[in-house]
Amino acid sequence: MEWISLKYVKRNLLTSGLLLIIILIGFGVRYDQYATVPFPGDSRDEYSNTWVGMSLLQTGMPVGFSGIDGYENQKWAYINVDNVYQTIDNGTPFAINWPWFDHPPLTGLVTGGYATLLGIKQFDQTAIYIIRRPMVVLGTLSIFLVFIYGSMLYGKRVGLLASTFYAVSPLVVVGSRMIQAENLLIPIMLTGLISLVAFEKSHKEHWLWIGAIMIALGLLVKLSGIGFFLAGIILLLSNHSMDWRERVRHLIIYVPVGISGFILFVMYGFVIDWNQFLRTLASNSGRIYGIGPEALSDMILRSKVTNTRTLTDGWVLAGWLSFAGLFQQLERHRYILVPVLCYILTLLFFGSHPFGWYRFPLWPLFMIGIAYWVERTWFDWKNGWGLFISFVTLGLLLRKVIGINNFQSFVSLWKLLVLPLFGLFLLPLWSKHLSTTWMNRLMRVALTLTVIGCIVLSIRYTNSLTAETWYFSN
Amino acid sequence: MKATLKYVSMYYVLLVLIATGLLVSLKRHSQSFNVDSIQNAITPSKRMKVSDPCQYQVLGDPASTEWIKVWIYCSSDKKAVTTIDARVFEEQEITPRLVLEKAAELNHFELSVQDGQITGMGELVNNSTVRWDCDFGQGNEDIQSIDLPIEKIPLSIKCTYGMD
Repeated sequence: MEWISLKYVKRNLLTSGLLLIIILIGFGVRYDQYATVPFPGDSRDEYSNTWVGMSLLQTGMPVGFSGIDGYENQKWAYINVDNVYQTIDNGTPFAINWPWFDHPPLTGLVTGGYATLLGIKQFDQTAIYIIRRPMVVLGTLSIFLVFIYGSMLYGKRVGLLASTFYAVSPLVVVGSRMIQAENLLIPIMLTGLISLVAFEKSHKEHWLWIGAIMIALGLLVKLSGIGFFLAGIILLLSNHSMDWRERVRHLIIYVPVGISGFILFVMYGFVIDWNQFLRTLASNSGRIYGIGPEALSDMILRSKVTNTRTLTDGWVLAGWLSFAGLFQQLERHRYILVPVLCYILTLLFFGSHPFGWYRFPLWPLFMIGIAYWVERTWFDWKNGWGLFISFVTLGLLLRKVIGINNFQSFVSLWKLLVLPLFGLFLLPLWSKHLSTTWMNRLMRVALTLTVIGCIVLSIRYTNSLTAETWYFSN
Repeated sequence: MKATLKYVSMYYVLLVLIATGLLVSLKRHSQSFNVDSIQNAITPSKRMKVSDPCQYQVLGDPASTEWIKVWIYCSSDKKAVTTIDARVFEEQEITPRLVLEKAAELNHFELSVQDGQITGMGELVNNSTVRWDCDFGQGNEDIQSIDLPIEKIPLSIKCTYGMD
């Protein structure tokens, strides 16, 4: 783990400087309009998560809004925070339940803890511009962790590219502002995975312990973190640099430590109200399978932010394409593929509604996937996949930023661009007759222009998302 | 292998000790909790009141069959509609006063009542020429006293500020 040492910064001034710029840009785009996009009230969970943490700290009882049945204590109340009833809400009061056990309490403790530190006591004072601040910080931290994870897996070029994509992707930016458990799960999950890679590379057992403790923490954020727990088991079992005896020994550490997060959650339920805890757990497991059998295609085709609001983002589609590309070498890319597959499996298993935030933990892994392909194309012009998926992103972003009517003036230029670009994809068929040096140069120029175009357009698109454009966008 | 098991056991011992400490203090902390704590948390905080009772309205209808629609006509061309979900009232009997107070609270205006009659909403107060007059909407049945219980829900309450 040389990445976070001062020595590394000194030895890699350029990388460190670039990373700092990426982080600052990422923070800037997250902070700008953070209190208006997504619109306050787009997801009532944002408030509820905070209320749970606040009430837990202030009264020892988790109190929040729940959409599920099985609560004995319920009170209907109009909590007109951010004037939600005068803006987008449909006039339905909040169903306040206690003790609230929909999810483990860690996310609420972060935002509710922040609100409590500011002296907030009443629920209607938890304005979005206050409670989203910790999420902006967590989102920025995740950019740094994406760099570390990407660098450890594929080198610092991929790390830098992945963190850039993660910093500017409009859907990632907008999503990361929300007070959803997934936004805390992401940095915890990334730290856990980073530790597991560090363990595989160094064979130092303390990394395994840190990884397992992070997974345990993830389970205290949301039970869907079980996907990453499962991924850890598979990653440790598929570590062919160690013999089976060693792998089993590692599991003896990893499994009980990792699962301890869930045990803590159960103990928490036992201490507060065991019967209610069991009822909520049963009710949660019996929730409607609203994602339906089309869940996977919905995930790929629709870039959702909430259940109803979508934000078309080429980066996410490119992420799925990069994932498909990595699939060809499961073992080589197992640190991306296994967590993605296990997390999707968890989503398919748990079901519920197709909320956009359920997918957020996939994005950092996808951005590393895109960065990997871009780098591959940079060094091997015959592999045009990196350029192809960047081009997909570019097209979608152009459509969003320029609009179809304004784009008509650029159609000729666009057609002129498309022709040589697709030529580049097909030319490897005659690679024997072509100069590798020149083709590499050509590919690099095309790739650089496309990727820079994607980054610039992403920032422009995100900046254009104001309260007004967001309100009328869906 | 023995050493591994020893470390894992130590982890669990430490975890149980920390968790017990945390959870015991949580249990003790939660013993002071009662329904009043929730009431305090959900009670609206003090906000600046608006002078115009028609400045805000609550858009849309709640996902409930038990609702009361409040129509406030501030003038011939200015009205505000607010639908109140009856589930928010814990009282045995729902009165027009409770409903109007809830509408006033949600829309940030001051409601004044005297002898079972509305005397003012925001800066629109009764005087010798204009006053507030409320009825039950469809049938135009006048509300005799805003403290008398409402018999049937859903219903509408219509309040008009105008000439007597």
